[in-house]
Amino acid sequence: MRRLNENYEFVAFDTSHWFNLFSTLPQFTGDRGILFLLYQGSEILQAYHSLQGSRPDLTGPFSSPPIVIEQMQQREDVDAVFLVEQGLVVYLIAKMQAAFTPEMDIIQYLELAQTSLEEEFERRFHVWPKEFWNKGLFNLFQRTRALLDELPPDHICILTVFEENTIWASLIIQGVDGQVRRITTTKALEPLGITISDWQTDYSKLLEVVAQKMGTPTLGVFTDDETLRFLMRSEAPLKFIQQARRTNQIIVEPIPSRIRNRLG
Amino acid sequence: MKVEGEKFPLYSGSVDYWRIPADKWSQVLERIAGMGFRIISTAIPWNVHEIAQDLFDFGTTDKQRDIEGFLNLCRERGLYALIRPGPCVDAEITYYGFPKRILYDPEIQALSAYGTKVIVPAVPDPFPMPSYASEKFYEEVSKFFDVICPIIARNLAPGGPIIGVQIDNDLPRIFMNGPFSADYSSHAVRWYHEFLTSKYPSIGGLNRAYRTRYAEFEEIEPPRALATTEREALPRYIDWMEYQEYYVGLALSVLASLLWSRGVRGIPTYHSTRSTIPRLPLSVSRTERELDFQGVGLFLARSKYDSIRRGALYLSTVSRLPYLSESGMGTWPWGPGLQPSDQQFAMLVGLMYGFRGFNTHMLVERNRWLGSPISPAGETDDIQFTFLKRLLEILESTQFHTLQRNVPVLLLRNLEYERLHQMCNNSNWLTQLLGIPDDLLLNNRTFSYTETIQKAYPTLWDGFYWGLTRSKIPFAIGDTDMDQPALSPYRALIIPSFDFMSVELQSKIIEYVERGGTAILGPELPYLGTDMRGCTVLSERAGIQTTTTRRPLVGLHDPFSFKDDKVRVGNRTAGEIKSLGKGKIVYLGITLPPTSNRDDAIEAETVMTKSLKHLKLSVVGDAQNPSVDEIHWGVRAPNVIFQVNATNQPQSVTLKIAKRAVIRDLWTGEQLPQKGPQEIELKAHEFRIFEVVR
Repeated sequence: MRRLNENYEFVAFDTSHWFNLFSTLPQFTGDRGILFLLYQGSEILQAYHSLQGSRPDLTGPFSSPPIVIEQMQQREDVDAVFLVEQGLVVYLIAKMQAAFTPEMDIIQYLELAQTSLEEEFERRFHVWPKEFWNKGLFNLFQRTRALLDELPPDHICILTVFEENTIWASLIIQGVDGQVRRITTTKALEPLGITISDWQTDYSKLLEVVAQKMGTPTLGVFTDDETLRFLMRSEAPLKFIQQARRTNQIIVEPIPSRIRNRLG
Repeated sequence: MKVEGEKFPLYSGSVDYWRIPADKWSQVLERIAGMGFRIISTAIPWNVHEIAQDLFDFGTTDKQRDIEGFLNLCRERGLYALIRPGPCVDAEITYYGFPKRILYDPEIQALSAYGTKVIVPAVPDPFPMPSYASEKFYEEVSKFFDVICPIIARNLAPGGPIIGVQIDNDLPRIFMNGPFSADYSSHAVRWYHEFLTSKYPSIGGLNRAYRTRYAEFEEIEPPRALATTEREALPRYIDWMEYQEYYVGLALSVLASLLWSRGVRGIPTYHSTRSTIPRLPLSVSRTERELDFQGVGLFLARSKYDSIRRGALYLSTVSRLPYLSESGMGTWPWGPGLQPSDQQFAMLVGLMYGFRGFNTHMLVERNRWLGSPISPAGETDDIQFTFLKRLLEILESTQFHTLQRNVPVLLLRNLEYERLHQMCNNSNWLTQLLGIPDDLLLNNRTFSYTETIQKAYPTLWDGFYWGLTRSKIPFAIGDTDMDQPALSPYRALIIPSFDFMSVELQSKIIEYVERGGTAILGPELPYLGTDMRGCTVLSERAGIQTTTTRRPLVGLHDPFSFKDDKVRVGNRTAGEIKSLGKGKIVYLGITLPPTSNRDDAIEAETVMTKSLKHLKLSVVGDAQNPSVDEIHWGVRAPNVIFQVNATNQPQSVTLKIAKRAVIRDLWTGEQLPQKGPQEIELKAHEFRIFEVVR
């Protein structure tokens, strides 16, 4: 499994690009709010509504988790209901700490949380609708890990997101000796004065510059900010990418064979 | 700071010499001096200088590790230095500055309640937290200090550039997973027993508090979970919370003594936490018993205006030197998404409310940091560079660090209830990552008190805070660890009080009142001590009967008033005013509606203004507009006035100044068109700083 190098570097960063990229991360929020319930045995101990605050009126005995969360979601008209057993978090941390090994990087460590949560899903941790819980940050870790594992050992990958015809966010990852080591943004490329009049054709200029400055790119992904936001919230990202590639809303070039096979 | 006979304020900026090519040091330091800074701050990571076990490099094999060469360049350019030899420096460096071999030594590792290692979820590599109670840990730290301290000692001021030393960084991190998460290593349990021995004069005293029959302190097992619903059992859990404060203080004390014994002495020592509002188990008063001052970080967006304000109002009251040890300029890549405008706003708000020194972090960009004013090559970012340069000019021209202000009211954080809250609070970094709200994880047992104190206390405190904010009566924030001389300058104290309160705190309040102060308490008068046995010192001395009846909610239909020294809510009596010695006790047996911002605080404002009315306090700012905050610096009359629009809507306010005074905008240099009162238009979150010229 590919890991972050302990001496990896963030170099030549552009703050606004980086935070624009961060802003596309999906959040656990919905228009109608989320209801969180803490339970022990057959009693709801605490209830908290993300828009209304504490809801002590929802505490008390309940029958069974699948029934109560489905009923609550309809009755309270919220986007989702999370039912969490008291003590689950203490258990998760104890389990993660016990399973920790010195070889783990932060992504692997957080994946322990993901795996442990999956094991407890519908036992000590319930969500309704079920699909809702996997939209968050952990899902991003999984996707990142999967992508890193697909890349050739000494890769140079570029992700660039355009807004109109300006570069809105950009990220370049360089692999060295089979590890992810160097991460930068297009700030390092700014002195070359790249002009973009149509990103769907001019993306190739970026590839050329990266090739001149850092080495031949292995993977290039080019898209616009709106498409990226849809992708980050998509429940079927692979299908979404396949469709977006057909309409040039996402351009993947160059594309390593393993990734090409997966994207179809 | 007073160095070599000269006094100057503590305004500094962080630069990591070991991350910048040595041939660029000179250029970078030139830039820093050119901005107007006189002090830099730099971390000295143990794992950068230890190149193999017990083998250290200070520039022989790599010029970038030549700390002494770097310090010499500082001296040549007239720059002083604050140094951070750790052992933990954080600095986004892998393992936070510890050599890996230290972290994986079982004799050094901290242990959780379940006997596992305590893992810090750090980027890129998580690591096991060392136990700061481990003797072997200090033996290893001593080896690093043996080699670095001679370099530090020969570069101390006067003569050398070093004028201060930060000891460790965010040491309470060890307790990051919750109230019963660490440290259960054998070394730490020994410290726990030492703490109990220092707190209780005899095992009999402890047995009385715990209702137990231990023969000796060593028999006592530290609690590993909150396993009671009875208030009589709480003292041992509250002690476990207090022990964590003791742990942090003792660890800092041991580290300071290791440096002192190796010749690093005669300069101020401090500790830093990244949080803007220090929370238990970090106790500012306990830290400042061991070190000279406790600094805080500031990495908050303008939308967190209120948190910045609370942090500054608090530290400026309780700390010897209210210091922003990490005033964010830029951020770490996995940190908060803060734009330059956010950070400039935050810094100005911090200064407005009382931080007297700051360290720009990071002043010079480096690996794992982005958005600083100066690049590692010595180039400048115009937005941040220009802002800081102008700010330093303003601070210098107004001699801002010498200005004082009148603050008649002190709102106290009651640390006894905050320990209870901490004990019941099960949120941590993982719950935050999962998006589980903190409120859901706060244990709601009542422990047979009149109400759930751990929930009611923050709600009531917020009510007092927002009520005071709306009233425009200047106030400070302190805590119950403050001693009598520190309390005496204030004309009124506001202290949330519930069922229990230590006899020491009850006595302190009585003494304060007898000397002429006003203490505003409620909603309960304590009838228990912290050992949960009867203790009615305060209510007996004041001659006030505590109420056990349901407390009335102040609202539009049940307004708050005073009649014949009785507190009235609607037509019900809910408290009273009693004279005691030269002062008064105001007991408010009321419930305030939940208040999360100034717009909600109409009732709370009424309660505060009426409770303080007899003191005839002046308000500061435009009382007609509760959305704009104003602070005056200068004791008899203002020299410098800060105004900030705390909302995201434009606001219009009247700035009231003596008729003969002329007002000049310090940022733009513009002189306002007329003398005396001025109409000021403020855009959303706009900031103005005025100088008053008479």
